[in-house]
Amino acid sequence: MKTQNALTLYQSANYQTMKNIIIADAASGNHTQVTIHPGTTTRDILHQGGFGTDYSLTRNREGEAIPPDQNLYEVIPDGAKLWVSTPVDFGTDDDDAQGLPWGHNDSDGDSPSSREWIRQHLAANKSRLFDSQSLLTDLLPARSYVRPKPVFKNAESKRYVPQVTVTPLKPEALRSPPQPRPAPRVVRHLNVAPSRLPYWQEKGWSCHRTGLRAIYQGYFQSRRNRVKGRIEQGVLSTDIFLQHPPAVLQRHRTWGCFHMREHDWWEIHHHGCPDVSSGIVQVERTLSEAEEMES
Amino acid sequence: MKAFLNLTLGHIPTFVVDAWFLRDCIRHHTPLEDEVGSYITGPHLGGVRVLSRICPVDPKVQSPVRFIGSARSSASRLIEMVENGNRLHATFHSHPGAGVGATCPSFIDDGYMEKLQRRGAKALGLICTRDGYVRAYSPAMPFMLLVQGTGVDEVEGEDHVFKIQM
Repeated sequence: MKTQNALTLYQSANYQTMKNIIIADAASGNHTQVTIHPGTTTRDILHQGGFGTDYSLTRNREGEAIPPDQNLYEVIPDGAKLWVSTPVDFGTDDDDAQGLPWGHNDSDGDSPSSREWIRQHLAANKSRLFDSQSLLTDLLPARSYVRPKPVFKNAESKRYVPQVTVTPLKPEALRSPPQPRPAPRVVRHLNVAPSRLPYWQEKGWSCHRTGLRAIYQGYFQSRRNRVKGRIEQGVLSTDIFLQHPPAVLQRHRTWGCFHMREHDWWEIHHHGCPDVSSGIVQVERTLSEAEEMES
Repeated sequence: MKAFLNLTLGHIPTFVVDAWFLRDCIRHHTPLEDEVGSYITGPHLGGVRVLSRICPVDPKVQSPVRFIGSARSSASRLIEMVENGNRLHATFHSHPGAGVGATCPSFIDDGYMEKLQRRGAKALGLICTRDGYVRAYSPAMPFMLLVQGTGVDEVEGEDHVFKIQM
């Protein structure tokens, strides 16, 4: 019974393999809920989220950008919020500068080459420059069309005349309690899995097959310990072993799930059939938890 | 006026700025010959966005024809806006040269704004020259720009180009 409880505890504590985080676009304010799998890196999220290569993830205002190869699953807690942004980018390539009107310093902007360049540029990008009046005429019903210019512009002098309308503040508005700021609206959900190497391969584990069984060998790596490990994956089961477990593990709540085999190899009992990468992640997480408890 | 505001609130992003602020922006962005770039934010009321605050971005690359902000500074400024309940309304940068022609956006300018707008930012681009011309541009979003105040003229034959008396 005690062993069963320990197994259940180990399973519930260590085999929840996905995390949900929020990615907030700093420019638009849009939020995306992202589910990440073990081994997911910054690059995976940016790539699968449709962000360009010049975008970066940041934890907060003061933080540096998170490196593209950083394994986010390891360092970001469940429910964390990250910001995505791209640096300001203006100007032109040096090679192209010769053809632009500001490449030759004309003082009044009326030189023939400048005019010609502008004419060509505007013709090529006609749909990119919007005229408010034509938009109103084209897009809105005729009866609701109002010419915007006379509101702000004195037609005779062609000079903008200040025109401010101030509505009186109702006294009851001053007495109303402040409203809580609405939570940001999540505009989409994204499920991001590592797109490059599986975690076991990324961590340098090797694999060889004997019949229907695949045997993975490598090291479980935590902040302070590097423990030799072996995972045997069959059709119906996955067995996880580690050799010479550090003493800190004996104080972890799941130590009851570790059972000694020959040559100081220890087998970890668990329920279910986790994939190899998840097994490695969970053992490494257990090691890290044990080290944190000790410190 | 009321009908006009009703019209703008729901349909087309409308940006409001005063000539005084544009004059400040031009002075801020043209201290030397190199390009300078920054974000602009301010209050927003429905679909109406008021340009009222400059958020300068530290440069990573800066020359008379190029301005690339540092990733950290860009992110920090944008996050600061959101944390204060504001939104990005515009990007502002200077161009070398003079006259209306010098305010035309380059392909990099267009590309950067289009990237922001495609990802949902309702922001427009503004380019100024040191002699007082300002152009608003938007590659992927229709908009209306209302300039309020004195000392500003609309440039004939151009869309969204203004001459500010410095």
